[in-house]
Amino acid sequence: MNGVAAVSQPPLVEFFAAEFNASFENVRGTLIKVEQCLGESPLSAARSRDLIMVLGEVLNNIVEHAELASTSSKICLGIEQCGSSMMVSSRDNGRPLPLDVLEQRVPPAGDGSIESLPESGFGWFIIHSLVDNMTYEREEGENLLTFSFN
Amino acid sequence: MNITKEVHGDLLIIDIKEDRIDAAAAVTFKESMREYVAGHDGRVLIDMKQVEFLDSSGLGALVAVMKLLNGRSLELAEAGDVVRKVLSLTRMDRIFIMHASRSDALADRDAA
Repeated sequence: MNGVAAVSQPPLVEFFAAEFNASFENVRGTLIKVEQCLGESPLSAARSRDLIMVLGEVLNNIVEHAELASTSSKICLGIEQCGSSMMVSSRDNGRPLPLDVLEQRVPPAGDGSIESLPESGFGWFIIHSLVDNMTYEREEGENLLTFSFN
Repeated sequence: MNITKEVHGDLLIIDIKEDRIDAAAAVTFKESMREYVAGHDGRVLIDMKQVEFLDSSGLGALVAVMKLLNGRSLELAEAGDVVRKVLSLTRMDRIFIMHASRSDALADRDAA
């Protein structure tokens, strides 16, 4: 027994869990289901919308990477409630996520001309605007992303 | 994809009668929009009232539509909470012309 007092934490309560084949349609369906549950969460309406936005970007990014893989990928999404926070984790067996996207904190922009306006790259920027504690691990052929939200 | 259009003088108004412009819909949306704006030389306004959800793919699709307009800015009316949040986070609300309402856009003669 060490001398450090145990810090009591609120219990982790399973809030939502889903496993699905990686496709944009399945992501849409999952987001709709999560949205229906979020009324029961401690999040405000505005924060619930933010969470759905982040989840959509994370999951659609996984689908984009999964589509490059030779076999169909599965995504496991778990959301747990820990007091007033929601803990989100997703696990997928697609290709490794490129590490630079995890750092994308500047919005993509063109050079001022309409032709140069970016059409992609907004997703990770949106994620990082709304979440500041995302972690990424690659473990036994799987991507594991986690973050908390409150 | 459920989209309708009306023309008022040089203003083409496109009504998106779908709830979501997301990754699942982005390609179809772009293709539909391409058909609708082809051959129209004036202002183009998208009425976003029904759109409850826009993600980064949907935003990219809106940018792609704007590139079809020969130098004009794409106009958006009645953007809801999620749409406005995505546009403001990405600073794209400075690129499109945002109207609070369809009637504002109709009244606005200086947007062109």
